[in-house]
Amino acid sequence: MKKKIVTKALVALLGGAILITAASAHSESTGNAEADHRIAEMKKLGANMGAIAKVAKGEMAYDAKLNDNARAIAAIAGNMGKLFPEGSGVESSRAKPEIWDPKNKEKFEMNILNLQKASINLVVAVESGQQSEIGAALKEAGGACGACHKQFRKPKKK
Amino acid sequence: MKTGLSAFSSAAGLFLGFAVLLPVAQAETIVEKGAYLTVAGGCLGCHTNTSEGSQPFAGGRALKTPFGVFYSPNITPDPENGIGRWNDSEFLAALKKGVSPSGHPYFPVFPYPSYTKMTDKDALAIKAYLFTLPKASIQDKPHEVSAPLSWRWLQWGWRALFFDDEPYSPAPNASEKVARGGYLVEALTHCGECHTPRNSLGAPDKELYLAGTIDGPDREIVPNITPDDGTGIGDWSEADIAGLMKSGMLPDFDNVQGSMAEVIDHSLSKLTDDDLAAIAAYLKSIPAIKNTVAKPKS
Repeated sequence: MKKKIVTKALVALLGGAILITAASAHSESTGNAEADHRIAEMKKLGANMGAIAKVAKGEMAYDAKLNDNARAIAAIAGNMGKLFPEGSGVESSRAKPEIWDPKNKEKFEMNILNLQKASINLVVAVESGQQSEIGAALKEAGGACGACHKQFRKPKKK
Repeated sequence: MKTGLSAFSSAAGLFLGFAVLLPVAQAETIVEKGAYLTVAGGCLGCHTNTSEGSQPFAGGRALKTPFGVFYSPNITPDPENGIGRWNDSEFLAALKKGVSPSGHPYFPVFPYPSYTKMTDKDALAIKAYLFTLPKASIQDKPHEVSAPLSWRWLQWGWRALFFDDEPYSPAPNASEKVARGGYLVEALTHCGECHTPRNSLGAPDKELYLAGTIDGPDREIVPNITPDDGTGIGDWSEADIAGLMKSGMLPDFDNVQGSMAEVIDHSLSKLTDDDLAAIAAYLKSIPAIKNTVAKPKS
């Protein structure tokens, strides 16, 4: 009993450590703390998506730990609205100033809502353990990420 | 007797019918082939002024380079403002040798050093397709390049140093798939024009083929797409690579933006799955080059 708990705790810790390490591997500061935090959260999204993707592609066997990855995605998506405070759209951030333009408010919030819906579907799919379901849910989530990026994120520039 | 004659005339009629049909059917196929090759060659992207919503292939798009701003010309078959008066050999010289019908060299912002590798047959199929397009009476805009870079005759020197007038040849022992991918990449999709770093004279550095650069078009960062594990796409599967070209989605489900998103939209996403697989196989076969392409740390 004790051994099982210790193993689970270790796995959770290691999993967390790997995710955290992945997130801080690219440390570039925009000079704005809120923008930096947003970038870190987005990178966590990517790392968690990547972990689940490996299973969807058959590169890794399904593991119940993936439930944590999916829930992490849903948690960040749930909090997405708070990642864009006024003044955090600095020059070196990839967030476009259009985000804070009132005429785009509805569109921007719809994008977040779509991501939240997709992330919930992803949790359900991952918990089902079915490779095809996970693949479809990943695609939906990725599409939601992309839809917002297309309109509201700047391309990578020097 | 009558039966024999009518049988003969029916047969003759059938034969003539086929004779008329066959060339028409073949011509359509050449245009269709040309349409596909034009998509692969990415011509629409540079030769259309997307920011002003102007007519496709009518030119006028500003291409900002370290040497100045170049404006793409009108390549619709308009006889006055486009290529409507060009014959086959003039078209081949322009596309594959980078020389205009009046004998002037083009600036290599037009990627003729890549297009030179395509077959004459493919080039003429592209011409056949372009000649079916609606004519645009839009005049070419002059380039905004200062002397001495604007002196076209200097291009003869550039070409002597850097232009390899060679047809495509696959690597020895390349599979048919890899050879096809190489032809697409080197002669048509011309990936190297953006993904290979250039020297101070604007020529691609062959030692760093597809190894990426921070000095991309429009100041964009262009990634290393050699199969290097740390700095390139070595850890991507061929399916990942083909998937990106088809949908713009990265292996972590993020999406590409900027110029590459455009390339995917108007060119790569429209290639066949087989061709995308061939490109992916080719990209896995080229030398892995360690080259970190990153924003300089402030």
